[in-house]
Amino acid sequence: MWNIKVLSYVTFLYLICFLFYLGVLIFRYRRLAKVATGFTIFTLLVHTVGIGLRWIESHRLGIGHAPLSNLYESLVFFAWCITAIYLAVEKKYKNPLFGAFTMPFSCLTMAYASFSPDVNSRLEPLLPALKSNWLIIHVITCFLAYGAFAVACGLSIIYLLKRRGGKVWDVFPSLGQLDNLNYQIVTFGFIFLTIGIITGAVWADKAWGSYWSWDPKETWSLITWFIYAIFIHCRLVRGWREARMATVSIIGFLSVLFTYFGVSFLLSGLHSYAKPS
Amino acid sequence: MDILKKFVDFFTSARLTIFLLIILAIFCIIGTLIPEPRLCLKYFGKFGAGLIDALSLYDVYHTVWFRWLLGLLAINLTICSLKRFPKTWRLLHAHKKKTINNEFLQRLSFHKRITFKVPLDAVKDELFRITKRNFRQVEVEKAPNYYILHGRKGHLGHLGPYIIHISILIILIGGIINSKFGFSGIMLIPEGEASNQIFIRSKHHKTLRLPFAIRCDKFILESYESGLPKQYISKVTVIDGNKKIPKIIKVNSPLDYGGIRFYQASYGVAPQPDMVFEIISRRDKKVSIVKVGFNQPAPLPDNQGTFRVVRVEPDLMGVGPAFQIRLKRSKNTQDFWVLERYPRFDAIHRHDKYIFVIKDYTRYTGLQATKNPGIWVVWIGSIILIFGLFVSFFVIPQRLWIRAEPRDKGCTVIVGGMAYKHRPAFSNFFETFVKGVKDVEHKGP
Ligand code: HEM
Repeated sequence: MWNIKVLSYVTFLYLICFLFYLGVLIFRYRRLAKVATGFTIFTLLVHTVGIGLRWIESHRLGIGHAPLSNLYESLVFFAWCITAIYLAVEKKYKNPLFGAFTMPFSCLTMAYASFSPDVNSRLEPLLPALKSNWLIIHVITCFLAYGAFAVACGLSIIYLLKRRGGKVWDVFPSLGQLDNLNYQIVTFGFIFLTIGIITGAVWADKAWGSYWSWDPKETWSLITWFIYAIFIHCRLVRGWREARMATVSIIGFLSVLFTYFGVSFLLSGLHSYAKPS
Repeated sequence: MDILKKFVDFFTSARLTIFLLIILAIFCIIGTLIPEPRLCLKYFGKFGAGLIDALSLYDVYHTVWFRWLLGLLAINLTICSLKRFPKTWRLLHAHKKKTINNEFLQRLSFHKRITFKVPLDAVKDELFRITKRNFRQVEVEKAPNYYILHGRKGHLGHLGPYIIHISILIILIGGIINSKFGFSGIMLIPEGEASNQIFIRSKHHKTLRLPFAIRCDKFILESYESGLPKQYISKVTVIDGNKKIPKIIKVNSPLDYGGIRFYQASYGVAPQPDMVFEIISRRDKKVSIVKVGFNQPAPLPDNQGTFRVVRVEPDLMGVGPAFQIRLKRSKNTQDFWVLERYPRFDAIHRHDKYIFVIKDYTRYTGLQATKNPGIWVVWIGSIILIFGLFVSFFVIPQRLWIRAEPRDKGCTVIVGGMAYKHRPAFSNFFETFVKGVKDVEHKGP
């Protein structure tokens, strides 16, 4: 199982990315920033190769399916999304300093996927209900959304830290810019979350005969959706800005985490990957 | 009166929306955290469980509370949108009357004054061209002493929130149609038989008769090598009057017929199955295949006795399908179980001349029959919702004016712009645009 090996190395590569970015944050060498970005792109490539390998290996075993079907695979993809979205934001805003706040998310997610005994990384055949293209779109869009919310959460944390003052934070964009960035990334995530919930409903309709059954995972994704809808209304209608928005963004991400982990381990339902249909 | 006005104001405000969304989220959280009644009694004691039961919190989503909340949200949404619409309408038509003088432009958050050394006529066309390149709609106003361009784009963006909100109402309406006029139930059809009965899932255990019947011709369970299930397949025939239509139902590939969807939901041993046994002689390992109906006697291969299947359990104490056989020889009778999942069970646990292994039996297929007449309403609402989100977030209403006046031998130009959202992005755009305008002077006609 090459893919599992490659992907567990990726965990360490993310750790190195994080250290590079931390170095950038502390020492402020432009060169080091280039190295950090380059290394992260390299890591993302290795990560992509790992996912690709997993796909190929599953076909070799005659149980071919897109690698998005169990907790392990979804975690791996989640980390991929966080990194990809982070790199896009870094490129767009030309600021390599957020890395120190987003790479830990990628690294911890990969570490959890690779080393936790709760997560089964073996390639297994798909249960009949999981064989659906809608499911693939559903997973991809949901995780793009979760990745965006993770990045927004990182920015909000920076925001709240920066607001308390201190020279260290001068290098980050101004509070206003951080606030704006937070909002834009959340809107991006919100669109994907909406598409994710809808495609999930289409899948459920095809597989279980009911597009909405108030299964805990569904309900929690709806709760997350409500929280970000509240976020958007507070901003556009009530004119909230800055610290309050950052707090709502963090609460939203906590809800994402609960949707993802809490529901799988604490509540039961259709989505707890372990349970057969 | 004052209080009444305050109440009405609150009821029609976005503050109520936010409040309702928070309450809804809390209800949903409660709904997912309350365990089954049995566990509630354990965690919360008698009083707690009684309270939970009284408020129907086991199934929050289907309570009157929840409906009221959704209803309030819908009303609030409608009223707010209606209240807001005139303002939006004015924004959409704002370009009509206003006179564009220098004062107005200088009050805009983005504006820039540029002086050209060439006469107005020399740059007019080029100014028009670069405005047209950036704005879909450009209006021109000419007079001897001034020249005004007004570019607009993205005005659909003003309607974004309305599109979103209408789509949410549409989705809610779809949900109501489904719950009022739809149903969901289960059909159990043994292989070889036809049925038109649906057992509706509800408190009253209703059954519903369809005007057509479905016959299950064969149920097939495909497995991976490891034994995990790969696919469940029902080959069925729809019998509608004289028509007989063969169809296949699989997981993730339901059958649509007569406005109803049939899903592969479950399977199991038919109530009185026909069975095929492999009877293996211990001595010479000779195998005989014997077909037998439920509770029908069949001779043993040596013709010195008979056996019959007296009981069938779809799941005997968690070990899967089990078949109880009564074996009769001249003097003695013997009862024993044959298990499908453990073919060697009989060989190990019973010492007799023959070993029984179950090879095949009649199954039933469990089809979930669902009618969701509003489902297309839900899907259309969903598509509109996604469209509305894109419009709200990415279509930015932007307007730009250029007012040029001849002065001495040259002319002065004031560029002014405004965006209703995403000011930082517009600011970048505005800077590049102004740079372009400055370059016009050097291009010449
Ligand atoms: C879940 C149900 C929703 C309800 C009940 C709701 C309700 C409302 C209400 C009442 C307003 C009007 C504010 C006013 O008149 O001052 C509003 C504004 C708005 N809503 Fe919603 N909304 C919902 C969902 C959404 C969603 C999902 C979005 C998508 C992002 C959204 C986007 C907006 C926007 C952008 C505005 C501001 C309009 C503006 O100021 O230009 N709404 N919402």
